[in-house]
Amino acid sequence: MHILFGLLIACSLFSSYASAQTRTVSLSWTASASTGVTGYNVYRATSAAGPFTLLNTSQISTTTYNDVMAAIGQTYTYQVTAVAPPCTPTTPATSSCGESAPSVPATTTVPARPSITVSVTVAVQ
Amino acid sequence: MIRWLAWILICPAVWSQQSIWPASTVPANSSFPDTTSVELGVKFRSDVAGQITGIRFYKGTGNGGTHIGNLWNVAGTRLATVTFAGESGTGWQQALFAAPVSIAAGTQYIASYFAPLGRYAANSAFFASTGVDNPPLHALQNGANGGNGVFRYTAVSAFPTSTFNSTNYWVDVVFVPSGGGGGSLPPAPATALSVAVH
Repeated sequence: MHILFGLLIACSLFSSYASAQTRTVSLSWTASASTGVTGYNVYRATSAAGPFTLLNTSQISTTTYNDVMAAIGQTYTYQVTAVAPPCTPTTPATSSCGESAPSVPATTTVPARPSITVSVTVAVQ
Repeated sequence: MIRWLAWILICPAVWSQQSIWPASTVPANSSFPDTTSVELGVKFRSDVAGQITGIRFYKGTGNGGTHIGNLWNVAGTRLATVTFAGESGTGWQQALFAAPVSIAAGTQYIASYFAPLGRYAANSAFFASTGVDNPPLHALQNGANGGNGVFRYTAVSAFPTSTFNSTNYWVDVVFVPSGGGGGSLPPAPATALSVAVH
């Protein structure tokens, strides 16, 4: 029983420690003005010069994205591209195709979590 | 007669392939005396949509080892890679991807190759005041897109991001334009990207 209790405390502490090292960076952007856009890709780099890594595993259908693995203290540069269907010889000349140029990048440094001081007063009677 | 028939069948495919530099081009400095392992590239775009089917580079004396060709988008995502095989001693080398990569018109890409033993072709101040225009392909002049060409000292093939003195490293692509009047415009980019930490 004591061992199980100890494990629960250890897991809880580890989980708290892991989440304490990362924060969520929320991205939002204005949609591409082109018709036929099927989604967006979000890229991240630790240097403004790149290289950039694709974050999303499937196309993003909205204009928001949460990077939940942003390390505290790290500076990140993000870019977003709009994606249309692949270009093929049969693509109508009036349709957009392929991936757009990247958006103007946005950079942020992930700050530490604000600390909270909890005071507990115990009255002994 | 059979030879003529073969040329009739082959020539359209050959003619449809395009590159920035013709095979007759010989760099003024084909073997720079730097033996460091390095990735070398060129920023380019096409006026029309099409497919990149492979990578070319000029090989000078001493540029040995196993070369790897790559195509990247501006975000640094590797779109295709190929290992060169059956190279000649010097001159233009070419390797084709296992599958062609569709590119959009008017969009910048980076073609590069990995030279593990250095001794690459390099001509400095090449892109400082002009690009290379062989429509529909264009090697980009230094400007809004940053410097050209690009390189990265690295032990393994990787996205080249550094520039030095507008040097041309003589990297090229094999390009096949889209036929049949296909669409040629990439979508407009997203705008007003903002980030907030929670």
